[in-house]
Amino acid sequence: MKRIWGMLIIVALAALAIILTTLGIGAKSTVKINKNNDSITVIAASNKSQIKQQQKLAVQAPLLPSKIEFEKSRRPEDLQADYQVSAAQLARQIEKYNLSPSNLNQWASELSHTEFMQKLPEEVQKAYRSFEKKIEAIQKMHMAEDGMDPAFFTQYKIQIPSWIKDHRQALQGVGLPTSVSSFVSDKSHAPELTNQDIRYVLNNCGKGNTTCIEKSFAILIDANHALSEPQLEMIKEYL
Amino acid sequence: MKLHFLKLLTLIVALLLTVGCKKSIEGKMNVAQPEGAPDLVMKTSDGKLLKLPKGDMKVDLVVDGKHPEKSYLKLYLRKGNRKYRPEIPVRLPNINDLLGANDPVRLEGQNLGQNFGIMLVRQIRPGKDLFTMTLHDKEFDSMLGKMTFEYEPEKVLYDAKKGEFLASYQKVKRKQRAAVIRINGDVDRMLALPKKFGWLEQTLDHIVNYGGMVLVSPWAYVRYANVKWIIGDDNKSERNTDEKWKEVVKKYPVIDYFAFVHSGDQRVRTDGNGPRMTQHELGLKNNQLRLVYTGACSSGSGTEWIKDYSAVGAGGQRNTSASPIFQFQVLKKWAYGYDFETSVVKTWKSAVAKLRALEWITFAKYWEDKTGILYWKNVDDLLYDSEIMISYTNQVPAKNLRVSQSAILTSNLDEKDIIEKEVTEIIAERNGELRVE
Repeated sequence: MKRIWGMLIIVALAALAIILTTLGIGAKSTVKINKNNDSITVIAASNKSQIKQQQKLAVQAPLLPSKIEFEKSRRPEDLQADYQVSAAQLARQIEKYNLSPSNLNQWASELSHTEFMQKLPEEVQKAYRSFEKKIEAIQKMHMAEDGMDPAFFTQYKIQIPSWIKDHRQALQGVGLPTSVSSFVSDKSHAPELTNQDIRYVLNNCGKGNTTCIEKSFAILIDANHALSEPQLEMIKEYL
Repeated sequence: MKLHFLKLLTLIVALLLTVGCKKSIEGKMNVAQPEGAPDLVMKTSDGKLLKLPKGDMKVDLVVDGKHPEKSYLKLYLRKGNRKYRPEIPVRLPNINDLLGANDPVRLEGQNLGQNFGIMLVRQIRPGKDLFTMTLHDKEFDSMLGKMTFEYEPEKVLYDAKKGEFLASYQKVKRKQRAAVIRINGDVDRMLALPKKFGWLEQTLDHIVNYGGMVLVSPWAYVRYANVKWIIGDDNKSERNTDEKWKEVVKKYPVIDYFAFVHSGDQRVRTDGNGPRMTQHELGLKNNQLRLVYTGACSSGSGTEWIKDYSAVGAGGQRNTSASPIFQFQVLKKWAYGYDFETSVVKTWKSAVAKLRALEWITFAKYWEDKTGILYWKNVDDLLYDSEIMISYTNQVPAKNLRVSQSAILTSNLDEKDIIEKEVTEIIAERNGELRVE
């Protein structure tokens, strides 16, 4: 008898799903209810009624059963639904602890991730972590869409050669003539270095005075001035 | 007899020279065959087409130093019980340029002489560097396979030769790129949340902005040594904006600015909502601010960034813009190494294709639900209003502006040097089309 009731419930649910799908024009979304573990799967939405339904589900997410299961092969619509549920859960936690969105914005943009998390109650931390997981899935979708490999994100490890470090260190001890020193100090704050400025440094250091020339321009580069290729060529002629 | 000996000697020397020029680099290849993507088909040296099955194999990259265009991949396959070692010719650029590059190198299929394109990423390590060579379809829409190998390039990044200190030192400094990223709104269409719940509005705003920051972070940090985030509504939560700007201006010679925000004056303001900060007040050197791109509605081509802040290039949107469809795509393509012009062209083309196919309806409905207003009459209206516009100078055209490049204008700028273009205008030019009214 129990089996028959079970079968009837499944048939009724299947019929409901078919009706929902048929009602939506070109609909790509369904709501799957897994009887055995009380889980709900929200899959996509592509028309107004279903978007609204999806949004409603998302905002009421905390009322859903705690175990929410999603299909393994995810379409963008699935990921978005997943994201919305998670966002709603996070919103509920933020509201529960009465956290100020303004403070959260400031902490998130200025603190490291660990420091940011330390500012939050444990429940809120969990909600943030779960929300970040959903974003990670969206990142993967973007990578797949772009035909890119995660290897792209490997940080380039730039080895600054020791000879540059040594050379820069050696220049620290070099003194500049007063006229060059004050000129370089002024120009460090100027918006740009003109060819005339370059010539002034070169002429005042003198041809062949490598340490003076290199120290002067190292200071200017340190002040975030950019030397163009022709300017570098001008300098090389004096070295 | 002597003549024969000389001929033989010449032949041996020639053979040795030829062999000596070739380098065989051992690597591993994985053929991914993702669902929906085309098969990985390679042209062999005997002109046959070889469809590669999914799986891993050993592979040699045989590079001809003197004639890099004659390089090839040697695949380790098995046909029945017999070894099969097909050679796949690939017309590579100069080996030192290719394997000495510090930024990702993109090789188009037509240049390689193959049906697939290659993206090469170098990870600099002590001793041998690690190279990841991903194989893509011709349009770079799908990744079909991946080859990894280790190699120690002859060309070093920094030149210790006499007189090269300043150039090398500047290169080291110039690796210190920073970005300022401002977020107030949906960075990407995937992050949209319904906004009909007043009691949650500010919290949802924070969540959307935080989500945007998490989403774009990998693409931002892969290219910028430092990223300063400015998150939230100018009037409510943005604080210390000027300090953030001043810090990057002081420390980094190359700064890019991305603003994923709503409409409004995009120029830098003290504490977000105070008076505008001038280039002088910020302490920006000329061209230190390199690129500015904003998704803000009615931001236009952003010429004010070139005029007022000495930026090198800028971009924005014509009118009420469906920016969540475009803006993150621009940042991604820029991070992948496309020049600025190509970044906006590729973004635009793929967004138009998607919108025309289906997404216009879902996006418009989402927008209506969120704001209560449907801004656009139809997809053409949406595209016209959202059109990406860019501005640059004739000294550094947008097609020469890349994330890996430090852009320095060669002379003082005259207003007539600034060029403004709509993305559709650029596409028409690239297609060799003449516009008629």
